[in-house]
Amino acid sequence: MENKEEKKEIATEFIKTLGDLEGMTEIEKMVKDNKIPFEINGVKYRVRQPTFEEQKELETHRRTKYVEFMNDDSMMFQKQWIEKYKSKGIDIDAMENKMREKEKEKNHLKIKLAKTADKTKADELIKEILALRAEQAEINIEKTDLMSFSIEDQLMVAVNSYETYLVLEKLIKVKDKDNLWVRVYKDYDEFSKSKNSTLLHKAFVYVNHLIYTLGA
Amino acid sequence: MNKFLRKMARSVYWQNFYIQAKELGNLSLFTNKAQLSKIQIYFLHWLSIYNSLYSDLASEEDYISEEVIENDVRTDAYLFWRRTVKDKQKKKKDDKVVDNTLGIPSVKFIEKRKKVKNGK
Repeated sequence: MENKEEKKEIATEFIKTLGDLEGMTEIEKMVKDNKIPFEINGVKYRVRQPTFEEQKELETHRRTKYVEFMNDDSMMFQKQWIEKYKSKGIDIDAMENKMREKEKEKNHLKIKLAKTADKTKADELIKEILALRAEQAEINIEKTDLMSFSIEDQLMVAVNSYETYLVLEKLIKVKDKDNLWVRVYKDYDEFSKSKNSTLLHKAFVYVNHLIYTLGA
Repeated sequence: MNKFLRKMARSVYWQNFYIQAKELGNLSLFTNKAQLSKIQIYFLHWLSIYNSLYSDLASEEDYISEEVIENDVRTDAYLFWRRTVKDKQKKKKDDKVVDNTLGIPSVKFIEKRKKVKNGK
C-alpha cells in the first residue's frame, strides 16, 4: 500500500517537474529575444516590439479613441465611477484602504520571517503571508472588475488590442526567396472581426509580456 | 511566470552568464542588442537582485542562507528587511560624525542665531 502511495507521489513530483521544465523553456524562449515566436496548427507566428512608425500610429489610435470615449455620454472616468458606486453603497476607497492595511500586515510578517531561521516557524509565516496576498488579490480583482468600464480601462484595452494587431506576424514561404514575416491581418477591422480566439489569446498574452507588465 | 523568471535568474547558469557579461562588457545576454522587451528588463532586474543576494551570502550577512534564496516568499521578506531595517541602520551609522581615530562620535556645536525682529 505504502509502495503505491510512494509511486503516486513520485509520479506527481515527476509531472510537476515536467511542468516546471516546460514553463522554464517557454520563459527562456521569451527572454532570449525581444520577439516571441509560437506555433498554432503548423503555422509559425510571432509578436515583436513595435517600430518607431508603429508607435506613432499607436499614439494616433490612442488619441482618436480617447476623444471618441470623451464624447460618449455613457462613458465615465474612474473618479466618476467611484462616486457613482458610492451612491449605490459600494465604497472603492474603502477597498483600497483594506488593501493598504493588508500590505502593512504583510510587511510586519515579512520582517518577522526575515529574522526567522526556524523552518516550522518560517513555514507558518509564509502561509500567513500567502493568505494575505490572496486576500489582497481578491479585493483587487473585485475593484478591477468594477472599474472595467471606465474610460482609462477601456482605453487600455483599445490600445493593447491595436498594438497586438500591429505586431502580430506570421511566416510565409516566398518562392526562391527567404521566408518572410508579414502581418497576420491586413487591417484593424479584419483583426477585430477575427474568430481565431486561440491565436488572439496567445498573441495578447505574449504582447503583454513583451511590452507591458508581468502577471504574478 | 514570475516564479519561473526568478528561478531562472537565480540559476548558476544565468548568474555566471550575468557576471561574465558585466565583467567583459561585450558579452550579450540576449539575441537582440537593443530595444529590450519588458520581460527582458524584468529579468535583468532579478538577475541583479539575486546577484546581490549571493554576494550577501558570500560575505555571511545576517539572516541570508541558501534556503532563503530558494524560496520566493523568504527572499521577498529578506529583501524587505534589508531595505527597511538594515540599510537604514547602516545609513544612520554612516551619518554619525567621527573626527578622531578612536571612532568616537563627536559633539556637534551649533551656533544659536539671534531672532531678527521687525527687520532689525
